[in-house]
Order: sequence, then C-alpha cells, then structure tokens
Amino acid sequence: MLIRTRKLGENIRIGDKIKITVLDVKGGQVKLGIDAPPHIAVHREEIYQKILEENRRASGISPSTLKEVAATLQPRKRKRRGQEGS
Amino acid sequence: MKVETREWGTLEVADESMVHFQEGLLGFEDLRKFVFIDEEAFRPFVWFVSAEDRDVGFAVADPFYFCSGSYNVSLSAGDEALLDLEEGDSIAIFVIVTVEDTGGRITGNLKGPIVLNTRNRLAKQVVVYGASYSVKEPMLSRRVVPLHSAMASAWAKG
Repeated sequence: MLIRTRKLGENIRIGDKIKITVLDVKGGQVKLGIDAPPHIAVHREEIYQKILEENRRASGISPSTLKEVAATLQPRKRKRRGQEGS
Repeated sequence: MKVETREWGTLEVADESMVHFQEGLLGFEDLRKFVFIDEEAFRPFVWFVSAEDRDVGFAVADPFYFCSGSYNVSLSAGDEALLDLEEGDSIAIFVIVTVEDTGGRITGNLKGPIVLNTRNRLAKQVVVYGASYSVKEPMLSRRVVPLHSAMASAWAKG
C-alpha cells in the first residue's frame, strides 16, 4: 500500500482526474473531499461491502424456489394457475 | 436473443426486454445483460436473470413491499451519466430480494436499489445515502401495485 502523509487542506491526486482533499481532522475522524469524474463510483467501503455481500446472497435463486416463496405470499382470493400446494 | 437458464433451458427473449448495465451489479461487474422473467407464479416478484451466466438470477420486487413510508432515491451525476438520463426519460426502481435459506425470511435491499431508464434500457445499482434504509429490510405484509404491472411489456418468452 502506498502511504502519503497530508495536512489539513492538502490534496492527493490520483491520475489527472481524481483529487482527494483533507477537509477536516477532528476527534479521530477525517473528512475528505473527493473530486472525481461522474463515471468513477465513490462509496464508503462498508456500504459497498454490505451491498456486494447482499447481492451475492441473493444471486442464486432458482425459478422453482422463487415460485415456492411466491406461493406463500399469494393472496387467498386470487386464483393461481397450476397446482396449489397444501 | 437467447438466454440460457439452468432450470428452464433456453429462453427466447425479445431484444427490447433486455436490461444493460454499463457498470455491473456490485460483485457481478462482468455481467452486463439481464432480462426480466415475469411469471404469474413468481408474483409479487419478478425473476431477473443474467443473459451471460446461467447461475446468476435474482428475485426483484417493487421497493414498496419493504418500505412503510416514502422511498427516496436520489441519483448522483455519475448515476445519471451511466443511465444516460435525459429530460423526459422515465425510470423504474426495483430492489433485489433475498430469501434466507433457513427460515425463509424475505428481505429487500433498499440501500442498493436498481434504477432502470426505460427509454434506453440502461440500468444501474445505486447507493442510497442519507437515509436509514438497510440492505435487509423485512418484507411488509401489505400489498402494493406490483412491479410487473410497470414492466408488463418487458419480456417475451418463446
């Protein structure tokens, strides 16, 4: 990992399009300003990881499982096509 | 366009029902083409299947099955660019559903919904900041206008 020490108000450049500025340092927290082109996604790591993990968990559902799950939610008044489980 | 599925074999899907990601779902960055499979038996969910990997398919649903109040999604300039969003475009918002293996608890990811530009079929998973939505919002028991009514023309199965 590349390590750079920066003071308040100083920047780091990544390539020619991304600039990170130290805006505030207070009580163990660092506030960063990030200038990047629109197509560069900037996320807090923990949120990124949470969504990624949830995507993985959700990703393998089969149509038969989906039907079973949906069947448990069907309103009683609506008739479904096909066989009805007991 | 043909889509291979593990359980259902090859489906013939109309090109205009495809959904394209310029930046794939988090964790699935390489998969850029998906289709909606809307079967009566899936409702209130719609099956959202990768056209490039037959092992990847999601249950998706209208966010209001998981959200008791208003649901606000603001798009960043980056989101809008990747959706090629123009004045007058219509967007659809849906969430990925997780069904727990044990217990079968059903949750929706309100933190990372998928936004679809219905004009050009470009979609993006966006991150909702500044709200207390979680990636695992429990399903509510009430009924809402279902997603498939908004997407009735989104697929064809041959």
